[in-house]
Amino acid sequence: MSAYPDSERRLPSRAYDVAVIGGGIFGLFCALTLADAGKSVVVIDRGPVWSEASAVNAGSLGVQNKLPALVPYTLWSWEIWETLAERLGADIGLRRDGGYKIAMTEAEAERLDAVSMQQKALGLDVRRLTQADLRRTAPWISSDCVAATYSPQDGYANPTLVGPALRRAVERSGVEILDDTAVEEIRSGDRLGVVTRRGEIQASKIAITSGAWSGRLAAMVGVRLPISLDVNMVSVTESARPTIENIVTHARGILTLKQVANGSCLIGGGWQGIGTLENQRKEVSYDQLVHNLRLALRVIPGLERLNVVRSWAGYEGVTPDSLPYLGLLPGHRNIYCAACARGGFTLGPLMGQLLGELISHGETSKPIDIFNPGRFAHVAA
Amino acid sequence: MSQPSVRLIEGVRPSDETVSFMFEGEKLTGWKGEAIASAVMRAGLRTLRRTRIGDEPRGYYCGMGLCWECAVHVEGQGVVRSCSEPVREGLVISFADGRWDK
Repeated sequence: MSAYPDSERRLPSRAYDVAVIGGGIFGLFCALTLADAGKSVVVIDRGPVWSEASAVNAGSLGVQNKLPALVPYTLWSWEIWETLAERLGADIGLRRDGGYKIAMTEAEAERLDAVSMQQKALGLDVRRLTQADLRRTAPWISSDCVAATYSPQDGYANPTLVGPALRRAVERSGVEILDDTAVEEIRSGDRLGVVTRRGEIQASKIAITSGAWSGRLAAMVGVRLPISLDVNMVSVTESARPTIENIVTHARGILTLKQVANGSCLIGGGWQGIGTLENQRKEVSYDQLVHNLRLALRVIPGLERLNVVRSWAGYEGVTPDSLPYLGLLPGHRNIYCAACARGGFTLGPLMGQLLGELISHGETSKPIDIFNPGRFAHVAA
Repeated sequence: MSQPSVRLIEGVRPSDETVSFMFEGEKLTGWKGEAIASAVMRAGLRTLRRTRIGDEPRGYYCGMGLCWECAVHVEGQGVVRSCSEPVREGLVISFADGRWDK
């Protein structure tokens, strides 16, 4: 029995220009770009589309918490985010009210300074604040915070609003979406195809946009795509009076915090839950969660009065250098991949769009050399 | 669509002792040991709080402490789940409005 009545049916025999494997934020933006370029596209997903990392992350669209190499890409992706609600014709909970990146120790403050100088040189609007500035503009942040930077370019969106709106837009553009259709095999070579549990799909080109699962799919066509797994936890508090006006991130990347439209505070920071792709678990580790929440309280003491309503965990695929994969798979001329950006929710619209451009035109509007999926192919496992 | 009203199961009664409490400015009576949500709903009130987006009514939903839809504010105690918090004599209860203090 499946949640999707159609998903037990055998697939009609049909050939597409492109089969996109994985209907998260990368895959759906890739599909949208391809459809706009006039391609016939099918999106194939092992579960319902938009049900893993794209759906369960905390929605941060941070610019200050990205690797320096990704800063230009973050700003380009934000250009897509800025007009997305209008393009989708839906509320996506987008806010760009700026954000504080904070340091609680002198060592963290030094790191904050070094990184923010780099970011500034790369075109980010980021300012170092004095403690007095911070007390004045964000009195809800603890006075134990020794240093902070502020960027008006930080923001967030609501993943549970983005997903359905994006799906509707993708479907409106003529793309076929196959939920609950796990891929069992990829046939490479002249007669390209994707074998699923519901039958085989013919396609001229294949895009692997399967996040943490991308390594498994690449392995089906003989490509080594190293990806390690993070199981990130997120917690949400009860609704509280609007107080925290900006997103908060941490010099060491161990805290993200925001208060969203319904008054709830979302608390993350990459603290690790329990699970693997093999055992399909993604569970909260309370031993770890305690540290996540304690840190949140140290930074914003007022949170102490609020109840945590829920905590959950979700998978995030991580590459060896934390940069995404984007491009042709090594040794192939019609199988592509885009997956696993640190900050994939922020970067997803751009990454998906660039992959769509590459597949439809053979070139991209932004440079993608540093994302070459073959960059670790010759490194010993 | 009509909504089901609250009905008592014949013969089930947690206590013979009654307590009075305030809910959103109204004086209500409950049985000692009864959940706040139960006592409020027996008084014919279904709205236990209102949402910050759209000011929509929310109330008893999962009934077992998971969903937090029934959260209310108890003076001096803070926000609690009314489905699993016993009503007591003299409680002053209001919609949970997300105060950062008790």
